[in-house]
Amino acid sequence: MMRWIIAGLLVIIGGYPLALAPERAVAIVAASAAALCGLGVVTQSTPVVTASLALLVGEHALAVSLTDGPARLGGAVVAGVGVALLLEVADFDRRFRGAALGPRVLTLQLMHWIGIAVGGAAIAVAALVAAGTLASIMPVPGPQLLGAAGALVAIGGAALALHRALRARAT
Amino acid sequence: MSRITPLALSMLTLVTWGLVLGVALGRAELVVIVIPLVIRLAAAIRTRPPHEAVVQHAVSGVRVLEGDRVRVTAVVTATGAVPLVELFAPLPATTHVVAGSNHAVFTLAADDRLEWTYEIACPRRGALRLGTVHARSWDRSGVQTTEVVARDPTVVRVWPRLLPVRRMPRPRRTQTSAGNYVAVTVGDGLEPGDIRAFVSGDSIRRVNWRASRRWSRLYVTQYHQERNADVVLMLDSLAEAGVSPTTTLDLAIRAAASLAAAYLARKDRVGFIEYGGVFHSVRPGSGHRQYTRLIDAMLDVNVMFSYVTRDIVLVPRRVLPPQALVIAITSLLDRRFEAVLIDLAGRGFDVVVLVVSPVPLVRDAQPGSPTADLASRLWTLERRVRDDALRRRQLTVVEWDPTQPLDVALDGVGRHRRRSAVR
Repeated sequence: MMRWIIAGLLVIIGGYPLALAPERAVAIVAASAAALCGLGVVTQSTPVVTASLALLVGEHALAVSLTDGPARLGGAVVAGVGVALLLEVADFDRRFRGAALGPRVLTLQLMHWIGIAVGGAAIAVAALVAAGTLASIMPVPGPQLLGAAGALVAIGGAALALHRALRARAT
Repeated sequence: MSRITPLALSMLTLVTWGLVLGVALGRAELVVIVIPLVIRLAAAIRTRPPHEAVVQHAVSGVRVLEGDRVRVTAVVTATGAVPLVELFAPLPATTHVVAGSNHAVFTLAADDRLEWTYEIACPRRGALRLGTVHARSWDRSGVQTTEVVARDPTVVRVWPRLLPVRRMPRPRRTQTSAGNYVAVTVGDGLEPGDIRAFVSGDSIRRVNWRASRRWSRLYVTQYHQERNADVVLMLDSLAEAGVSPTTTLDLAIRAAASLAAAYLARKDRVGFIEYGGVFHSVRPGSGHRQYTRLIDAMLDVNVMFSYVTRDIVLVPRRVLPPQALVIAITSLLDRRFEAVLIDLAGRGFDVVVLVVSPVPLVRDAQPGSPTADLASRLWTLERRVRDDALRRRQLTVVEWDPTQPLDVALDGVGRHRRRSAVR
């Protein structure tokens, strides 16, 4: 069942950029990502699945840069939720493959994933609304600079938090 | 111990990659893609690690026979709710799961009590060390985990299955304690022997009235004493052939256990010597406790390759009494054991060699072909030549074909010993 979910998510995440820009280059990246993801699932390797997801994000970047149209944020929200879900589902499959799942385990896990999808999408939409409001009141290139700074702060903050959490558990 | 899993690093990698691409290309979609991952990562790091699971372990029996099943039950509790608790109990290599699974995942609510059960089959004798359970509590995302190893050491002893034995090799010499063998010596007993003339001090109850009336003189009946014997089972663990759980060593142990049970039932004292280059032994004794001691010693017998060859003279007399019947159970795959047998015979021991034939076991393990058939026949002939060479050294050698009952081979021991006695 997990593999069917992974395959479905892969079709959504990989197919959306292809629908945006039906180009040969995008198709090659999508196929490579799918193959890599399949390899990661079969060999139960989360790093390989992560690499395939990075390729899928790259495919999305390639597609949006080739189309060069207005930002399609709805599709990006769906792709983002899909990436987060695919990573979790693949990791769940890796961890518990061959194990007997007790009653309610799968049901509760599916409910959790649906919660992630709904919650993630809701928060992403809320962030978009906030960003849109901010863009309308700030002159260009304010949002771009703010976005870059925000990205750096987010990466640095996440890395710092992770580092501190790891250190705290090690001690 | 709780820890952040590598999944968090994967999430961070994707977040970084998406943000870098988004800023470099100036596309907001790529930043939006990573928002759900950032939320997941932040939520996972902020939440407390899952509670530790407490596991109590129990087995249905600590002493079973080969082929029996053991039901393992683990009761899992936790101080709080655990979204996912993964349980894994490593099993010894000689067992396999027949019902349930030794790797399971459950959801545990607060103050909940979970009973996890599975059954293992024990096809091969041995002392199984069970009771280690790895319990890993996960959060729903798999970013944080808490792991404990519950150790409740339980040893399950899988005893060899006994083979029916009705005719055991009869010892040539008996001991001084009472038993079931009619000894040559006369004294107190039930089996009437010779008659002799009455002498002063003889019990009046022993007077043979029929003989006395006939010869007009008092005669008394003498009775044979009933004595027990010392039997030492010597097991060759230098080499084995075949596929577990029916290797020559497994079958030899089943035969040894069956003979031990049969001799102990006849009130004999039974000892055990394992020869695998060095000697491991159990002193002869009698009774049920001795049987337990013997079987426990047999459980740990395995082939351990060694160049060491100890001399039989090093075995103390209390382990190998001079009057004992030595039953050597071997596959005769290693020449060193032949040397031990010849040495024993040379020292005057009453030795019976029960050879577990490896030929049918190896033959069954291979795909059928004319070459394999020819090789099996040649091997059988070669082994027959070797058996005859031992027989020429006054050893009683019988070959046991494991496809036949053990009694068939033991019947051959009786015939051979009667023939040699006539000579």
